Amino acid sequence: MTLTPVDTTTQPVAIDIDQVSVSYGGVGAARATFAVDDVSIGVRRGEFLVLLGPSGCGKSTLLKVVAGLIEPSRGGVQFTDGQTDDQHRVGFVFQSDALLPWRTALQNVALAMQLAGLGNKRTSTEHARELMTTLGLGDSCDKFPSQLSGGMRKRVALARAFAYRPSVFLMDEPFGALDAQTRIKVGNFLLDLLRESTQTTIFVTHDIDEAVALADRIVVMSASPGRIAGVVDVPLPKPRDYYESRFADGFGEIQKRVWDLLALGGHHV
Amino acid sequence: MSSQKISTMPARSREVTVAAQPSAVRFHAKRAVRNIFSWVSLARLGVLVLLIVLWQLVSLQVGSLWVSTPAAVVTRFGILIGDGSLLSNTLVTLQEAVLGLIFGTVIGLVAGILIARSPRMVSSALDPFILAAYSLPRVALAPFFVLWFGIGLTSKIALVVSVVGFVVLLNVRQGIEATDPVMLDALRSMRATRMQIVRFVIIPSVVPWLMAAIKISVGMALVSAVVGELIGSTEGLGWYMTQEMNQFDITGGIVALITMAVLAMVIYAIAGLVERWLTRWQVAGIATTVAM
Repeated sequence: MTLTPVDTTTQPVAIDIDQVSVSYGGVGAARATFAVDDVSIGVRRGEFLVLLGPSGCGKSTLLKVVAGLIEPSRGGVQFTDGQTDDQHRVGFVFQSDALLPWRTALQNVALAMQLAGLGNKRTSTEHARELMTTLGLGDSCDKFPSQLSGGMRKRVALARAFAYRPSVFLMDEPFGALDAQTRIKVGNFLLDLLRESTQTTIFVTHDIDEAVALADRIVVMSASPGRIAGVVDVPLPKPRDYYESRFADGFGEIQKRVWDLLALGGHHV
Repeated sequence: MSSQKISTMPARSREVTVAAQPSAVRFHAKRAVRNIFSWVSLARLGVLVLLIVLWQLVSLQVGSLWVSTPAAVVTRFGILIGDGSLLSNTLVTLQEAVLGLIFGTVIGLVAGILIARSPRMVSSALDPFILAAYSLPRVALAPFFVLWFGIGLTSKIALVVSVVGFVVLLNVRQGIEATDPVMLDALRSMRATRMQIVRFVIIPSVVPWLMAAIKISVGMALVSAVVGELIGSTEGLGWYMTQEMNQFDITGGIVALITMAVLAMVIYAIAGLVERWLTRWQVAGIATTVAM
């Protein structure tokens, strides 16, 4: 079933990143270095927002702040979709697959559901098996991560994030470690999964093509300190294809705008 | 202080690499049979024969009173197995060593997790004392334990625990420090509680370190049990040995020594099998990595 793509530009803000700063080291303000410096973004409901920037621009740090893994030095993140903070679940996909190596693929996916309180051991295992089959991993359920290829492990990691139905997906360069062909395949698995859901996604990458291909909106960041260099809307038609959408009309133009922002962001220090 | 590297990283031998492969189990069994007749086994047999010949030569040279003879030792084994005293003494020592190993492992594991998961302040305060206790030659505590706990089982178990506990404790801490922070982040992003993180991440990732510690401890556990018996006891291999040596019966002493060595190897082998099973995820899949 294909849903009619929602125009996310008119959706209300779901995640309010409000003047977030993260500093490392040093007690005094003079000594501290800011990984993230005064960043505010309103992420709209159902939006696919890409954080793009060079390494060291604090994009991963910002993602971890949203996930609650890092306390910001200043500012905060508000989820404005009516759920309390405790009910809030984020589906974090890491650059490394972050699977537990001593659990089979199926047990990894099922664990996420058990932790979220979605069913007991038996029912969560059943659901996990269904999801794995959807992702073409039916034969790999009982294998350990070390027995799977990088692309398969990434799909298991995606299955794990989707399994416990989070309201927000946070993805930290999830395809960074994959080769080009595998990346296209796994990228399309992700787009297929997202098409069936209405969740908000924040996706971190340094790959401009990937950013334009996936995003509704790209927030371009500059490094040291991490600040927003500019925001680029991506009005390409949906549903997208991870690879084919790179040849859509207007792709090159958006790509250039992102390039310009990155080049500019690199200059002002 | 806390970064003292006294633990051994769980090592993997090539032999283990194929071991846990479910599809390779049958293959492995065949290989094991083949191994018995392999060149390595023949070479080992050769070394054994050489040692026995050397022993025989030495006893001819210096007199069997001092080093006994292979034949006398074999005869004694026959007698002691026949009257059941070898088995009963072995079981006593085995019981002391294994119970001490189990209690020591549990205590070391729990203490290691508690210390590693407590605030920095706590571990910093405890570190010098843990290291002081660890550096102490703990077999020297044997007379104390015999005095406190009597000449029975308890004093030997206490001695073994005091030796094994620290090895496990320090290894477990090292293992916890080496836990992949991404896995902790992953579980935290799923809103796992502290207890769930310990259960699903910390303990499993410590298992290889724990098994390495246990394997190191097997020998030490037997040594401690026997030393405890030397100090004060009424049964066990160490006790038997002192009895015979006091009467200048070298043959009996050597029988006890050989039994201890065999016992150590058997426990070590069992620990190795348990390790292989518990860490099968580590080695699985070398042969079956599938392309997308």
